Amino acid sequence: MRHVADQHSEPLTEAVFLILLSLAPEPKHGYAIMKDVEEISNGRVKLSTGTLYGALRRLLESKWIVRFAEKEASRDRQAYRLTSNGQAAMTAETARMKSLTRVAASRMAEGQA
Amino acid sequence: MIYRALLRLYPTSIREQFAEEMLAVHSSARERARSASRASYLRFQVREIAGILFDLAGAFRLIAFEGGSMKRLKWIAAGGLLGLLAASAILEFGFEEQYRSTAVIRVYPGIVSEQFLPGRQLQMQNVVQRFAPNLLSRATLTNIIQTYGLYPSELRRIPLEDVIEDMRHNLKLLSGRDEKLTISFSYPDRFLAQKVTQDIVGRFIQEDQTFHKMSLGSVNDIFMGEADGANTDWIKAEEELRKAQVTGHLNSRLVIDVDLARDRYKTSKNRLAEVQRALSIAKQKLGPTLELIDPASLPMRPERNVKAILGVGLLTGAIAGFAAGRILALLEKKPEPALA
Repeated sequence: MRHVADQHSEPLTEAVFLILLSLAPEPKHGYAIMKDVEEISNGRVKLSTGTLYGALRRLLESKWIVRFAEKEASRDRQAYRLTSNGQAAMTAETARMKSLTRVAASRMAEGQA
Repeated sequence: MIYRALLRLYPTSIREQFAEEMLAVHSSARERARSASRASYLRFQVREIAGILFDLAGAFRLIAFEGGSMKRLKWIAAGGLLGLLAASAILEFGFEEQYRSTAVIRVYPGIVSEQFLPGRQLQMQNVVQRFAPNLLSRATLTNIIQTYGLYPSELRRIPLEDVIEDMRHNLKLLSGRDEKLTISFSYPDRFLAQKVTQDIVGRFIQEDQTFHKMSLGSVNDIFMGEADGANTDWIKAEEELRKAQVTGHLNSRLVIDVDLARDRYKTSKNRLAEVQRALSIAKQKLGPTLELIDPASLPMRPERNVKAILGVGLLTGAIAGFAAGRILALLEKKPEPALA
């Protein structure tokens, strides 16, 4: 799988990470994920539906998310929820980024000193 | 609409599961982008098309390599190629050949100066725009079809309107910057193709001559009206002068007025005579405002419709390739184990 890291060994792409982040607090449907990703990234990342659903398909295959019918008053809509695997992947990615940030901060401090 | 068409390109399994949902999300996002600004909407459309194309490539690569079906893609490609060849052969040998006869006419520099023919510009583009609607009209083409007995088998199968539409496709008017107009017509019978081209060229030149005659007539009317007006003014001025002489109120202003009116009349009368001389020369040599450079050719070889061969070939190839892929997919399926 190219965009979803195998066994959390490779870094996640920004789009995948933001989608996982969007699903972390609660399940969401496609359009809500799209808007949330834009909001989380302060408007910097605007996913196209092709990119969004390409990523969602890969996440489904990796079993990092599950798809289910969201019951609404007007119509049935498919929504996506993070699985324990997905949460683990996100935690691992966040830890990797934190570690990287720490190293970056310390190196920059060394440079300024 | 483009988005919906692109969704159809996804593999069936993905399309069945996600297409409807993707379309709904796309519609909501589109409405949002549209309400923002025109630039934002344009960026959205570009992003969406690019996004779906990249995802499509990824979706097919997944099926080809992860499913271990690279072989199937090769079969699809081979089927497509065979289909292309078959379609080209069908078009090349199975369809009726078309012969195209071509004639060239050009705008001839006018006998009468441009200043005497208001609104007449020697530009082929204008000539085409002026006459083409009439020449390509239903009445004219029906007349040509009936005169030469064109499209007999088509007329038995389809309505006259459709036959006329087909004829319009076979008839080409191409105007270049060099004041030339190429008129061509293609038809399965090369002699008829030539006759029809000759006929259309003749009608073009005829239309131009009619227009020219009308223009000359209107020029004459304009100058004649001007001379008549000047003559009336002169008569009035002389009448006033006579009255003044009788009543003893003669003054120099009246004399000057009469002189001016007489000069105006003489000037316009001279101008009218000049115009009439030019018009009479033009009438004698009226023919060639449009002149025929190359008469309608008698085509020796049928024309090759490369676009049609490629278009139909690619379509048939795609269908054949798709069918080959499906058949192979069915053959690859393992048979269910027989019940003991």
